[in-house]
Amino acid sequence: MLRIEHLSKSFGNKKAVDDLSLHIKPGEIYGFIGHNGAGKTTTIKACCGILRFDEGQIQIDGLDVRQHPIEAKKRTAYLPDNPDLYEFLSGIKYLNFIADIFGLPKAYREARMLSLSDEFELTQDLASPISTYSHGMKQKLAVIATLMHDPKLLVMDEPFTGLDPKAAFLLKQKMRAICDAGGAVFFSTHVLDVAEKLCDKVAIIRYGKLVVEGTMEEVKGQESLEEVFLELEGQHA
Amino acid sequence: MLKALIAVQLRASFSMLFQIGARGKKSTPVKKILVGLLVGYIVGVLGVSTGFFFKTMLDAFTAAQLHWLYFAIAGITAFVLGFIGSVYMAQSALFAAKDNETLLSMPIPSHLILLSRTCTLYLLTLLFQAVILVPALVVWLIYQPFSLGMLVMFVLCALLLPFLVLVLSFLLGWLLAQISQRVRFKNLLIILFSLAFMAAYFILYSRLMSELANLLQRGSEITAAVRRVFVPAYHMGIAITQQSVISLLVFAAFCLIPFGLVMLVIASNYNKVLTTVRGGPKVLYKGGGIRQGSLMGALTKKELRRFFSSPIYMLNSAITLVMMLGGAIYLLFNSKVITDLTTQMAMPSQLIGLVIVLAIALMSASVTMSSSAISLEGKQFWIIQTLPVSALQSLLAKAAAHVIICFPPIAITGIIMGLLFQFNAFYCVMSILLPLCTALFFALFGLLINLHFPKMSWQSETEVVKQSMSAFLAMFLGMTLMAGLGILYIAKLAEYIKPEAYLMMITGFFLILSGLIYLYFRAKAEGMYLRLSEAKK
Repeated sequence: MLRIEHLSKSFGNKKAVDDLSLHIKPGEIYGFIGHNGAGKTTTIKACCGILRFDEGQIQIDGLDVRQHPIEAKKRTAYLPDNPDLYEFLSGIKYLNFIADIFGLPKAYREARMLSLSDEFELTQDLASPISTYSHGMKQKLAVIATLMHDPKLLVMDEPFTGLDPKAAFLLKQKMRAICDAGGAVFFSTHVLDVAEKLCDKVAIIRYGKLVVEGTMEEVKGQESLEEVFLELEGQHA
Repeated sequence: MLKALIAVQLRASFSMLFQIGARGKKSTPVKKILVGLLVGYIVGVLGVSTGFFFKTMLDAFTAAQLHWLYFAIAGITAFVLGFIGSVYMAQSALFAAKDNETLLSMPIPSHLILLSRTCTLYLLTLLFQAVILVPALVVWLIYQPFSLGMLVMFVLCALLLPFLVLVLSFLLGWLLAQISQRVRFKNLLIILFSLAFMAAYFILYSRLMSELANLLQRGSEITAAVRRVFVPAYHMGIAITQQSVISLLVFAAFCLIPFGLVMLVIASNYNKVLTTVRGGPKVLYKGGGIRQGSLMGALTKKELRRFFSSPIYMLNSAITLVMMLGGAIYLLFNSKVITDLTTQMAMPSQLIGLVIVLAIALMSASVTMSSSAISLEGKQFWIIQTLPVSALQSLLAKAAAHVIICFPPIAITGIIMGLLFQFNAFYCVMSILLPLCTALFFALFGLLINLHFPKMSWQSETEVVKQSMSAFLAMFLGMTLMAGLGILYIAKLAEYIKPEAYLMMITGFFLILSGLIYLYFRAKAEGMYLRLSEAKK
């Protein structure tokens, strides 16, 4: 579903991502772990068409993101770590805008918007301007917007930041549902407990380079993911 | 602490004025030189044209032995320009800056936040006024004897004058902030209030000028007349030319006392205004509001909503549309003004149509909405970038919104002018078609400039819509190009080309240029949009 081959990206003289290759197959929830500044967000942004990259190739559902950016984006949904949304719109107008961009039919979008809003307990606030929303409410609205068009690939940067426990639980269910339907989820997190329980596969990067990758069992063995991560950090320090 | 706060404010305010291209991408020496030449040219044109204006005045006032009046007029002109430049900055910079919450969370007294923002606004106003005061001083130094005392007095007066301007803009900003706290449809009220404030300001200014003219007509001595109507300006003139300390003190009192009072009023509840929850009241969703539309429709509507959600964006980028519409409606009920004006200008009748059409086009060229549209995406730019929308579609939606905003005032003004001047079918069509093509060209041109001079990271919209290089270039180049096309015809081409043919040529010229910009966007926009993300880093 997502194939990253020899990805490299520099900012000036600093190499943010260095020859990174990852393959995320349909049905997989793939965790992306690393210290602050390791290159997680840069990789994620390159996958979603927000950042140019210097070398390598990224394919989403077999589509090269540089050659077929629009088609690739139609299959993808991106959730940033800090959702800055259009504050001049109300929640309902924002969702309607997203639905228009994806060309969702009226009956479908109506059912989808309302069911997701009900699940995330945001329906009552949909008429309010986004500028009145709390951080968590914005995060919920962004989650609803990403799920509306049933993406094949869900790419998220620290998705649980700001969500209340119930919304976080619901999001985990939605992630699994996407994978069960043949899609894939690729997300970064610092919450290693969550990654350990949720992910089928995990990759750890350090200073832009892949340190270890594999199924959860392959990576952590009998240890906890936290212990493995700290061990790897210690080895490379 | 204050020094650090001011440094941050100034960096934010001035960085985009002098920023060349997107950060993250190194500017080439050629680009730096070209931008330097362009800025030099603009400063040169402004300086020389203002200098010529002051040279004419200096000759007249020297002949009449009214040297003080020269600096009084310079002061009044600088005041008017400074006010126009700073009027809408105060509300946004003092009360609605995005970093207010961050600053409030730090151990910084609110009066220091107020003081640091005041210092920045003071410096920006000083910069606006320098456009008038510097050429006025240079002309004086070239043609008149001067002393060190005079120079010192001039500098002191120039430093005092911005306080007088800030009194008005702070007062307006404070009133707008009070309105914002209390009402639901605050944007509409802010717009109406701001327009009313501006109208009151200009009416008062024109009344004072009429009063001055009346006094002079009734035989009053000019010194007494100016002293009665424009007291601070009179004392500024006397302080500089006669090095009168008394006049300097009177002028200082006029500038500093009202400013001090306004600051006291603002400081009294500054913390309360800053800590008031913003964003408007919560509205309970009762169903509905779900409509299906096209992709381009959604993008264009989003741009229009962005525009109408921000009074500062509307007032700074499209105020000329309101002025044009207001002027047209005024003329509809005062058609005698037109007869007087055309008689005074002794304009050949065959040129009237051309001048009117070009005047409407000039007004539409000064709309700078699109030149800020990309920068205003700011931190929300990720949304467009991650959606299945091409950069070209996004840009065309921004251009479409610009043209849609321009169309109603252009059409109404064109129809009113057609009725007033009894235009034939050609001019009736051209009075709408050419301004519309002009709006289309400047919509695309504004985007082109904004792509090359982006400011994706900002604390206050004012930084983008008022102080950015992009908005400045769009406004200046728009008005210069249109005025140049008019002057070129009247001065050189009138004897060779019929006005009708010339108007058609300009229309074609704008359409061809619009087509070229479209082709440029099609080839380059995608890559430039991607680079803008790096500009944020």
